[in-house]
Amino acid sequence: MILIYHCFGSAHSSVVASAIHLGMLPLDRVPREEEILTLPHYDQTPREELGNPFYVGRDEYNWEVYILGLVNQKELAKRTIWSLLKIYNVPSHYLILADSLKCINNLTRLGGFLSRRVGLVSIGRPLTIKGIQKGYYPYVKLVKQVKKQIKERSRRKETLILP
Amino acid sequence: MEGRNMKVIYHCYGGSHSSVIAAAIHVGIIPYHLSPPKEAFFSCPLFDQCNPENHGTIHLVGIDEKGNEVYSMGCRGSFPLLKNTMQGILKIMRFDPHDIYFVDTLPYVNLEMRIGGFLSRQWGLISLGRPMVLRGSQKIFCDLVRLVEEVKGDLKKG
Repeated sequence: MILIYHCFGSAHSSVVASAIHLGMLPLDRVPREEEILTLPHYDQTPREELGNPFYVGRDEYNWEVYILGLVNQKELAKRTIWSLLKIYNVPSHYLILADSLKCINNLTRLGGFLSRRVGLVSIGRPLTIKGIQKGYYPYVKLVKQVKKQIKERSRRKETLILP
Repeated sequence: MEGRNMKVIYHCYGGSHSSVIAAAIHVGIIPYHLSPPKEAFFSCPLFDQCNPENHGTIHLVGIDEKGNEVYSMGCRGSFPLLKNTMQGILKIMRFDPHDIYFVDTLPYVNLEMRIGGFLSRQWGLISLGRPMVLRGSQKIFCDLVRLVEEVKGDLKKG
């Protein structure tokens, strides 16, 4: 089973959400700067890699967790993903797409623009981190919602297998 | 490669005109005649039908004589992004991303189709846009036939 956290550039909000999901960032306190900075893919994804899902890890429910940047075309890309799965006869409960962009605040948005788009990494990167520290709990809330959804799906699967 | 069935996706901006015509030529819905009558285009599934809400959806047009599945799709200028996503998703799901053959029909689109398509699909001015699209489609029909022949040649080579 596959879980994808998607955002604009797969560089900040999806990285943070997936890290919380996989226990690389705490649930009960705001992480320190170096905890965020050392996350794989944090503030890294170059423009030509947009649209490419990156593997982050496997969670406690045995779901594979990925991050994905869909720029400002998430509705378009989501339709493509779902119709592709249909063509390949993959049941829709096999995949969860979680939008982490809705957790982002303007500070992270500005920092991300400066670092990824303009190339001013030294100015933009610290701003993205400050933004995430300032508005960290929306990410925790999103991850909790997603895990609830995963738990429900796993339970439904068990009842399906039972005679 | 012999016996390997591919999925051919013809894609353009809106998935309503050039991609559906090329896909329809590919599966034999429109015969390979030189400049077909305008009515022939209406036998293409989804001709001048897709709205911005269906952009991104991959539509099955038919299956060709070799068993390849042929699709049409509107990418709204985001094909590089969607290609990465489609290939990435297939890899994640343990399918072979090389099973899909992408064919861009946008370079063949002329100004009449562009303006007519925009009027008909974006603004809903069908009575104004559709005749323009039909005229434009007749003009590029031979180019699309040639494109489809090239694609079929490539598919044979594998």
